[in-house]
Amino acid sequence: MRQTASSAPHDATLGDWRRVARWRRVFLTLLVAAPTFPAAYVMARVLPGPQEFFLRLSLLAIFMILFAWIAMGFWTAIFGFIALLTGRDRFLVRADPAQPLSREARTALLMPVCNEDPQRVFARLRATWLSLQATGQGEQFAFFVLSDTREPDVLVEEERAWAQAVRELGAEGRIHYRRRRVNLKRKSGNVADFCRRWGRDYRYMVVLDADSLMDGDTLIQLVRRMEAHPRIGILQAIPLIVNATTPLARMQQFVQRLCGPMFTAGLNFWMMGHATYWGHNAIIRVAPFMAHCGLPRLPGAPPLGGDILSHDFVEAACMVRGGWEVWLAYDLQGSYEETPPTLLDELQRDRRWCQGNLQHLRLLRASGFHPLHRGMFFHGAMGYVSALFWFAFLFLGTVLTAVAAFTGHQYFTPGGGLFPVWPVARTSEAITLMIATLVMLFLPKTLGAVLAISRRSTREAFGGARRVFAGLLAELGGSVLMAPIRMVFHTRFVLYTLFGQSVRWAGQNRGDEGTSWGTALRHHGFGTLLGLTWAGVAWAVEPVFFLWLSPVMAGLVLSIPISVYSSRASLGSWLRRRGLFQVPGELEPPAVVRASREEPRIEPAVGSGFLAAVVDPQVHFLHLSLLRDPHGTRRPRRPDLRDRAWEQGPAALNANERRLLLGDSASLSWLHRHIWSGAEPERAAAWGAPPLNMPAAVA
Amino acid sequence: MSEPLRFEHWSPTLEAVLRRYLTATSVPVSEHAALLIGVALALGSQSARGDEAALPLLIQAVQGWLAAHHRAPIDMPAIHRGAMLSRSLKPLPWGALLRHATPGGDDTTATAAEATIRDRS
Repeated sequence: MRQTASSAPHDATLGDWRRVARWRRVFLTLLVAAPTFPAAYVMARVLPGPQEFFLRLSLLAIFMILFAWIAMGFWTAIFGFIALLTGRDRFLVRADPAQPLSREARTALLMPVCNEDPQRVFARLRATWLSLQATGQGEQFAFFVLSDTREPDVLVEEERAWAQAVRELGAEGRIHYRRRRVNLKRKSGNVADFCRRWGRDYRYMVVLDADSLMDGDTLIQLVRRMEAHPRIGILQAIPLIVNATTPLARMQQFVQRLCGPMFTAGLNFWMMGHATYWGHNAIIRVAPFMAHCGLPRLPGAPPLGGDILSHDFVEAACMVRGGWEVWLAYDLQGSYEETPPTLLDELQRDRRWCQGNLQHLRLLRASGFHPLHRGMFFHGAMGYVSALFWFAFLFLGTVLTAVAAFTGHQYFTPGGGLFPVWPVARTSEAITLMIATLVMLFLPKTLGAVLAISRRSTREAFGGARRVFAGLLAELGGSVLMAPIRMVFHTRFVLYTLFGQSVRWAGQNRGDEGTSWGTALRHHGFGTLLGLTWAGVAWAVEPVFFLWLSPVMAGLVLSIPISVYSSRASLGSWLRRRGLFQVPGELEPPAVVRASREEPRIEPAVGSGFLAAVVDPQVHFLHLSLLRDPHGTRRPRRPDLRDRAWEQGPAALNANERRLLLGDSASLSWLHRHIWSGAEPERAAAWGAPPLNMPAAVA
Repeated sequence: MSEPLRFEHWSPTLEAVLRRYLTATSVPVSEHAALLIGVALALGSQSARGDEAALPLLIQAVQGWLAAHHRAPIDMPAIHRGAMLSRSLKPLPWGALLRHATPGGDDTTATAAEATIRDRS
C-alpha cells in the first residue's frame, strides 16, 4: 500500500493553516514593501548630481533589492520575537509527550560522512546512541554510517572506529556501516542509496551531518510528533551550535543562540507547512521521500548543471510538491551541530553552498513547486548574489561620487531653462537613511538579547545581562569587520560559478588548527590590496565619502589579521575564561554534548590507516570482511601495484593507488603474508612490521 | 591421524615468524600454543609442503579465531529494492507559473473516496 498525503488522517491540531499562511505571507510582503519604497525615494534624493541617469537607476535598483532583503530578515525576526515573548504559537507542531511510540515507528539514523575525522564522527555517534538508550526506547532506532570517504587512510580508520564502537556499545546489528564504491550524487545520492536498499524497513529516517549530535529525548519527540501529524513529510529540528573553540566559532555560537530561535520562530510564522529542510537534524517520512524526492541531474555541465549540490531545499520543495507538509520544530532543544572554526573554513563551505544555491535559480520555473519554494530558491541564491549586489552598489557609488567630484555641479542642465539648479545638501536625509538601514540590520540582534535577558533562567545561562550586551557589542563589531571580507569572497564565488568554475568535493575541516599568517596572506592578500586601493581612491575623490566607506575598508584592509586571530583557539579560550560569548549549556553542558567530547581510546594496531589495513592482522581482516572477496581468493586486480608496493614500499604509492589496493583483497592478502613471512626484513620494515626476535624454543 | 612431526623440527626463524605474527594479533597468549599446534598438525597432514606454508596456515587460523571471537559486525539488514522516484524538473513557461494551482501531483488529485479505496487495497 502506498502512503499518500491525501489519504493520511486530517490533522485537526494545526487547523486550516494554509488559509492563515496565505494571509501571513501577504502581510509580510506588505511589510517588506512598506519601508523599501520610501527608502528608495530618499536614496534617489541623496545620490549626488542629477546627471548619469542609468548609473543612478542601476544603483537604485540594487539598493531596493538589498533593502527588501534586509527588511525581510527584519520582519521575520520581529514575528519570531513576538512568538517567543508571548510564548503563544497555535501553529507549532506538538505531540503528547507521554504518548508511547508505536512499534511500527521504526527509525533509521543516517550519518553520511565523507573524509571526516572518524574519531570525532564516532564520538558523536556514540553520544547520540547512549542518549537514545537512556530513554529506554532505543530499540526502535538503527544507525547507518553511510560513507563516501575516498581518502585511504581515513576510510580504514572509519572501519576501525565503527567496529570498535559496535563492540564497545554492544550494538551489533544496530549500528551499520556502508561505504559506497561509486559516489553518485554525493550526499543526496548516498541517502537515496540507503532508501533504495533499506528504506522500506523504516517509517522514518533522521538525517544527521558528520558534525551533528542529537539528544535521545529529542529524537523520541521528533518521532512522536511525526506520528501525531501524519501529513508531515519532514520535520526540521533546529541545530544549535556547540563545541566552539575559536573566537569566530564562539561568535557564531553566541549569535546563533541569541537570535537563532527567534528567526526560526519567525520563519515558522510565515512558512508554516511549506518550510524548508536544512539537510540534517531533521526527521523524514521515508515512503513519501522515496516517492517524491529522488533528485534528477540538472541538464548541462557543472557548476550550474549536473548533481544538485544544495539538495535539501529541493527535497523540501519536492515533498511539498507531492502534497506533504514540511515544518520547523523550533521549540525542540537537544539538536546540535558544530560550526567551521576559521573564516577560511567557513568560506570554503560557502563556496560549495554558493554553487548549490545558484543552481536553484534553474529550478525557479520547474513544474509543480509551490510559489513559496520558488521564493526560497531565489532567497537562497540571494544569500550569495546579494554580496555581488552590495559590491556593485559600493562600486557604482564610488564611481558616481567620482564623476560628481570631477565634473562638479551642473548649474544649468541642457534644456533646463533660465534658472540654475542649486546644489542641495541632503545630509540629514542621508543620515536618516543610514540609521533606518542600521536599525533594520541590528535591531533583530538586540531583540534577541532582550529575549535572552527577559527570563531569569536564560539570562543566567548567558552569564548575566552585562555579558549578553558585551557579547552583542563585540559580535556586532566582529560581524561589521568580517562582512566586507565575506562580501569580496562571495562576490568571487558567484562570479566563479557563473563563469563555469566548479567546486571540488572534499571533507570539511572541523578541527581548530588555526590559520597561519602565510595561509591568510595567500587568501586575503587580494582583499587587502583591494581595500587599500579603494580607500585611497575614495580619499582622493572625496574625504567625506571615504568616511562613509571606512567601516567597509577597515574590514578589507585588516582581513589578514582578522582571519588569523579569529581562528586562534587560544584566544577563544581566553574569551571563554572571561565569559565573553558565553552561551547556555557552556558551563554545564548537556549530557549528550559532554559525552560527544569523550573521544574513545583507539585500540592499538601496527600502523594506522592504509598501513594498518595491510599489516595489522585485526585491521586487515576487518577490512577484508567488508570487501566483496573477503578471503582474497579471486585473482588480484592490480598485481602491478601490489608488486610495486612490495618492491618500493608504501611511500611509493599515491592516495589513488592506495585506494585501489584497498579494494583488491587478493593483493592485500599477498602483501600481508609477505610482510609477516620474515623473508625480506628490510622491505617488511618499510611497512612498519616489528623486527624478528628469535625465541629460545617452542613452548 | 596426522602427527605434528614438523613441530619439533621447526627452525628458530620459523618459530619467531609465527610468534611475531601471533603477538601482533589480539589472540590471548594462552591460545598461542593451541594455534601453533594446529598449524603443525596441518603441516603434518600436508607433508609435501615446506615451512613457507606455515605462515599462511597460521594467518588462516588467526582469521578463523578472530571471526569466532571478535566477529566483524558486517551484517547489513536485508535489501528491499525500492525506487527513488522523482517527477520532472522541466521548466514551465513563465505564464504557467502565474497560474500555479494546488501543489502536488497524482496523490493530491485523488478524492477522499479514491484514497480510502486505495488504502484498503
